[in-house]
Amino acid sequence: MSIAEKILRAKTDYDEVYEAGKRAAVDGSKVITKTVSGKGLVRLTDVSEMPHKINIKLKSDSITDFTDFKVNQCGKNLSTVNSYTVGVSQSGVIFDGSLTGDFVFSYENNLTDVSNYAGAMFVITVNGSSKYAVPNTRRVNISGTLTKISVINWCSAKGGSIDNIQLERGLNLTEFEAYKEPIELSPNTEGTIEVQSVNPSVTFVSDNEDVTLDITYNQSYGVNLNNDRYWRNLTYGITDYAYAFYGNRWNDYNYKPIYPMKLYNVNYMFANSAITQVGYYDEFDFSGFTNNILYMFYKSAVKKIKLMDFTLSKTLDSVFRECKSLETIELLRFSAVNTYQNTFLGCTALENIVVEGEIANSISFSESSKLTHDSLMSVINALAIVETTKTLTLHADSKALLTDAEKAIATEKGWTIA
Amino acid sequence: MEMTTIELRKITASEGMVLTNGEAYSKEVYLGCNDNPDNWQEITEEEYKIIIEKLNFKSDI
Repeated sequence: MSIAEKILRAKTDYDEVYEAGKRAAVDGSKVITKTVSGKGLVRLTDVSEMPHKINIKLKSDSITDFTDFKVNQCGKNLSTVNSYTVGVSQSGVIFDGSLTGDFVFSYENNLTDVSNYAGAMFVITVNGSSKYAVPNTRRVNISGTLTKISVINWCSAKGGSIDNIQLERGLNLTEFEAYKEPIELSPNTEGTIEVQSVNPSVTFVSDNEDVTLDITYNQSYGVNLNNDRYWRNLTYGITDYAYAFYGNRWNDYNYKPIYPMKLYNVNYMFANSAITQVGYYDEFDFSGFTNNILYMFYKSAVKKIKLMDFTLSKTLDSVFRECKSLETIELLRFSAVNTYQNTFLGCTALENIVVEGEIANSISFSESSKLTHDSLMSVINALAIVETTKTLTLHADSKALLTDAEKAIATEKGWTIA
Repeated sequence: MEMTTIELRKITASEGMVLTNGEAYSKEVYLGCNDNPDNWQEITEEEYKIIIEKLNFKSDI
């Protein structure tokens, strides 16, 4: 099946995506997650200035294993022929296929020594018959079903060329882009493909007409990573970071703070975000971190955290709750004033933590079955000696890693291990 | 040669039961030096599941 035939089946309104992108670009800081779908083929226009992820999900009622399928990533120009030179290629077929919708066919007329007509003559053949003869123009709008575009040198030009030949979907003429050889993408068994793209316009084409493509941008339109003013406005002199990077529109590509962030109110700061690393290219100032902390990383995709200093903080309520990807916290600083409410609830992937300071109130790692022995000992060694019994709740697998002597370190400090 | 005596007081839940002190839940508990077995009681696994479901429930924000 040709690309043109697949375009016929495309249902994507890419103009909507384009307009949304333009609006966001004007706004300058608006973050958009957009999903577009199409059967067999999806085209989208991307105005983001920065690299970003594009997630493609292949779907089909009849297919369960997508391993053998391919998706081609093409540019916006669907014409494989981008130039004709008189004397070299007098005429020929530019496009041969079948497509329906609104298209713009454009070219640059550089013919010379035209003897009997002031320009080249293009014949647009629609369903086998010539309907348009368009001299001295550089664009033709086509609506309907298009099967063939031919160029015929009717005008006896003796030299020159026709250049920048482009066939693109839509109503608006856009800047010429040379035809790009498709990049073949292979989905995994479940039909998922993740690519990065900075192409202004891409077309994804499945090799199976029955496959629906769901394509999701996890990106910020119009946000320039190197835009000093953007990050200055967002972080400079700011201490209220409540919801600052909330939601999966924030990811490793657009979370690139330039200035250190002085933390005070961090409630839901990274909740639900797709950011996977915190504290590596960003920098925190914990000197004012004296507040209660609620749901700071709740349900985020964070995998690795370099340092969290809660020494001056109070209640740590659900700070890492449901961070199911969280594997490592390189350094956690606690103090006797910290209390822990569901702080690590749902941290099922947590393996490595190093604790500095003192843990003086009950704390639970009940769902963290992967904690290493070193991590467990780091926690146990940080337990304060308490007069009133406190509880350290561990997963059964963690308890099994500890010897009786190691458990006794905790119990002799007044801690019950549950 | 040095001999060390490690004293650990462990309580284990009965079959189908879970231990709780009202704050933590576990099948087996190693008591702290000041803790008392009387501080722990058994609840059924069904009761435990309901408690955990309530704990885990948090509507999206």
